Amino acid sequence: MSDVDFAPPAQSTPPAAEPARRSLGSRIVSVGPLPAALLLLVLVGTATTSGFATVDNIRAILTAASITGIVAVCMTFLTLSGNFVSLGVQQNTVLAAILFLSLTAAGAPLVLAVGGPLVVLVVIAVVQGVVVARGMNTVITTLAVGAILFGAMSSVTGGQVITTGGRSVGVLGQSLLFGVPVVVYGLVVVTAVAWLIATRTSLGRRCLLLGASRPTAVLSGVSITRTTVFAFVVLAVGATIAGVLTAAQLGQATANDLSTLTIDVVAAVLVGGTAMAGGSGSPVRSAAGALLIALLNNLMVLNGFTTGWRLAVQGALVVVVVLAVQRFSRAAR
Amino acid sequence: MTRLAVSLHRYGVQVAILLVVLVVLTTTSTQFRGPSAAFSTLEGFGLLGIVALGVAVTMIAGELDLSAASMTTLGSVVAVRASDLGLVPAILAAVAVCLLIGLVHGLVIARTGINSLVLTIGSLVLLQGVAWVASGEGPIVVTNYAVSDQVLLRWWILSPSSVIALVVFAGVGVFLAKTRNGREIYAIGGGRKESLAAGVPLARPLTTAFAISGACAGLAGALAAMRSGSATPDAFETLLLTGVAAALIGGIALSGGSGTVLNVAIGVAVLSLITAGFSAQGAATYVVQLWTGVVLIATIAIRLVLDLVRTTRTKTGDTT
Amino acid sequence: MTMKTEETVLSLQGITKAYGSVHALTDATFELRAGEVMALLGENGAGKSTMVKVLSGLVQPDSGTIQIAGEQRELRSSADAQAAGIAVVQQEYSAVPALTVAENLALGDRTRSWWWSRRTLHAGAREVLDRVGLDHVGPDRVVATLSVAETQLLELARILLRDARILILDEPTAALSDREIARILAVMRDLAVEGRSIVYVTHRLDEVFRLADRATILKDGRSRPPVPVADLTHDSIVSLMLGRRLASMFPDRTPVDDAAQPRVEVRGLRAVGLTAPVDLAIRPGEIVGLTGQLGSGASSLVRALAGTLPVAEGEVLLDGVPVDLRGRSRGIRQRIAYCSDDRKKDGMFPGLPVLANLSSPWLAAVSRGSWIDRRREKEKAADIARAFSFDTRRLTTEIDTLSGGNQQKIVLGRWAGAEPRLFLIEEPTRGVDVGARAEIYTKLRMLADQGASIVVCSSDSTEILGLCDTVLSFYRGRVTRQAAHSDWNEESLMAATLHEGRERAA
Repeated sequence: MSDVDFAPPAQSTPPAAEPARRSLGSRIVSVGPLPAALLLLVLVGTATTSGFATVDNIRAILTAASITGIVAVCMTFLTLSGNFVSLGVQQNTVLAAILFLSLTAAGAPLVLAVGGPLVVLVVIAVVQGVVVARGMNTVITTLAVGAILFGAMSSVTGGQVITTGGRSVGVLGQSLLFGVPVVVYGLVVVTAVAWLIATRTSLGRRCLLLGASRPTAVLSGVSITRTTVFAFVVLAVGATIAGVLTAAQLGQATANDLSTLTIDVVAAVLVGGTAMAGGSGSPVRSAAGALLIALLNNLMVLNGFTTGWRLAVQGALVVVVVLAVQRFSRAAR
Repeated sequence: MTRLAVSLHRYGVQVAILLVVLVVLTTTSTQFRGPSAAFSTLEGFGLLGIVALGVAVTMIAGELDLSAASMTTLGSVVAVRASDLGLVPAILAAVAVCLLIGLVHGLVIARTGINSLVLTIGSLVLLQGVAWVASGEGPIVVTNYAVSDQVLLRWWILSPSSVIALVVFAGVGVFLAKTRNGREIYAIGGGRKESLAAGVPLARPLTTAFAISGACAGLAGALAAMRSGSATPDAFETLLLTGVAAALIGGIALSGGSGTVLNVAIGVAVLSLITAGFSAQGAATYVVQLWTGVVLIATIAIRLVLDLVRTTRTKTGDTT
Repeated sequence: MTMKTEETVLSLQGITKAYGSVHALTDATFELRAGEVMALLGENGAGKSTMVKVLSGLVQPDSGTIQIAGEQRELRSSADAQAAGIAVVQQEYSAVPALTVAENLALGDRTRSWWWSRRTLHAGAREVLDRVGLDHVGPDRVVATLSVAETQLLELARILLRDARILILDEPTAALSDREIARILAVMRDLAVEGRSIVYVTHRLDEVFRLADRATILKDGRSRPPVPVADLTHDSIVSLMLGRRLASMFPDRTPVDDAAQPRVEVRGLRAVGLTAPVDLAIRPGEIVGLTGQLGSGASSLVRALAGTLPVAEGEVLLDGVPVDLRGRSRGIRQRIAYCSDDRKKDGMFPGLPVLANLSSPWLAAVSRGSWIDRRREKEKAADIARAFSFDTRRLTTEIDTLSGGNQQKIVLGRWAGAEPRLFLIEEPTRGVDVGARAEIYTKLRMLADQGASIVVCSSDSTEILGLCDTVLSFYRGRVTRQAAHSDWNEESLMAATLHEGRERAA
């Protein structure tokens, strides 16, 4: 019985019509109120804020959104698989930046300078993935690993600024490519690849299954360990890309850099609407979430909002969105 | 199980870790001896201890309050702002504000059924912002140092803040162990469906747990602010990790329903020892963070290994 | 036997409760007098547990009224039920493992003082513990260290401490030994003598005759007027309980080739819940039915074969090759499919479309490396959907929005796609309406005809007799009888699972 044929004999029903392909418009609307919110912010910004709709400012927004976005897009797999979020992304990203700069300064070729941090971060990710799959809480584990990384980096660098030592990092160091910030290409490529992984590969699908129902996933032969490790590894890749790009752009890094990255990334994933309980969401949403957070922050800066007000608005936005997502998903059940 | 076995199960690993840390620190550091070492370790209870205690109560209820550090900051700002009213009113004001926020957390979680991590990650950012705004976007100091100087006393190895901390530990300990509401916090953490079937009103213990967490954070922030006579809106950033870590190292389980204040106290003692020991040697704060992380990961690893041993043992036990 | 009055303490009228399209209770009535023990009887799925949930405030009926002591009441939570003087011994979710025995006795009792000192907690605890036969258990013992039976007895002790006028016991003896059962029955009789009223839900008919004054029998969600137990016999109860469902609901059997090599050989298998080793051979195309009460071992056998319950001893051969039964993923690789009895918990992925649910066990088969061939995934899913008479246009809808019957078709169909050699199914039609049941039986027979061996574990005797080729009955961890379906009838099956034949047969 190696091949079971399910086509019913003789009176086989005519293949039912495929559902009408969903139009692009309906797809966008189905992403939720996010595009509307983005559009609204752009319109409000253009109308009320001078200096908003300028080329330089748009580049600034996109740059800000890109670093956050790359990490947020890659963290979506963790959230999708029902493992909440990592609170150690800042330290991982900075570690990648510092390793990249140190290797470059030591004269390593670009491949090694990027590959080195990648390997280190992936190893750390595998360890975290195994621990979390064994039942330890993601938030706690990543906080602890983050603290260790921060402590180790600070001890080794002694708080010094790490630079490339004057060596060139090629195209990565250019700020613009065809008039668009280099990091934006990074975000676009990462988002596209992440979207493909999420929708077209069994690895991505297993994250979704694990997040939708852990017991069902286990009974369906989905390995919790392998899937969780995979989600952590994707995040490690994202953190490496973000770290390398940041370091190449700025040419320097310290252990204290990117201090708001963790909060921004978590906010981007949550505001994007990926359900924290797992099982629903998409990397594209997280990219849009990062854009929204960057737009909002930019508008607030231009309008003279202080740090406190910016944090408060961002936090309030997250609270409102998670409550809305919770309510919506409960209503659907 | 005999009483001894129960105690060993509850505190054995934790006490062992405490002893190891104690021995390592006292043998490697010549400065870290005697009453001054005991004093600085106990001082840790005033800030870290009270915060960890509050977080631990939410963990016992099967939840986790990630906003505790932000609330501590807010508490310190409120206390400094209210310091003109006098020491006690300032502290009470901070406690009241944070207790109220905790109540709201608990009510929202009970009402909507939202995961507490998700909600409090949002309010972590929100409350940080509120602390910035309330402080006028920067460090603030008390206008009348006569108010804050009252907490700078020292009685042998004790200070007003460590005494308050110990009183709070005792109070919360008795509350958790001996009152209906306290035991219901264990019940909803250790078996939520069972508790509901037994007729426990979920909202009550849940709200109580988050209110305790809020009040503790507010109190810890107020005490810290009064000790230094100032408050900074970006202070206490590492307190979330150390607070949760103290509870975990002490043996409070994230799965809920287990652990006592004694567990928290042991965990706090471990981390306070590390902090006090390293600062006696003049090490930077990031070194303390590094070791906090290491001890936490080590504790988790030990617990995982012990659990594995235990489950394989029960599995083979079932078959015989 | 007990203090009987004609005073009605509890009366339910016209209670209807539907879950989606499944009617759990239809216009059911129930009444209870002071000081009587009322047995609540019925087959699985007859509506007993829904009735208990309505009485304990865990489920609100769609319509109908509840009167307690002549007063109309609404029971919206278990706290409401407690306030109305109703106490329930639940089958599951009974005690909080993290708390001590004494604390569990006090939990949820709002009349107790706010201060739980050792002294007040212990007050009365010793007495009730002794009374239910927990004389060896100290009040300070943590409940997590108690056995299932002890926990069940603790639950009984808890309601003794309450001043409840109405006690509901939902199969309290399922996990207990004869000695413990005798103890519980004695306590029940004492309570009735004190004037309390008891609703006793059980599958064990001998207990009904030993304890109950009257019996209310439910069938397909409808109630019959209460009958004095003195007027009943074993046989009359069984015939009142049994649903004479249409035989046409079941597909024709295809004769199983007796000469064929067995697909599955179970040799001396023991596991948790199976006290005696099980031997069993299943041929390709055969459907084997396992039946028994809760905790009888039928479900343990299925779970051991599925790899979710560790095997203590014995071996299993699949097409002559020993099978590695450690864990579900190994089982799936050896093409053993398993559906648990709790579809909502571990049978489906809520929030995901039907397509993703269907393809979850056989993703690898439609992938090159890790890359999913979405066209093949869709085609195969559509093939399964057609084979299971499921509208292919609904492949993109979320599975939660489907009816119970359609959900169950998807849950079974997704495994069909994994081309199982052995298909293990617990309670294949739980929560499924009658129409969809027939379809599910047809599909299972179709899978068998295509060469799979199927093991169905069910507490529905009609289903077991109508669908299966060979039937095994279980009682207390051992097989009581194994025979071809033609050698069984409803009465002998019920006797074998209730094990009334203890004296007669053994």
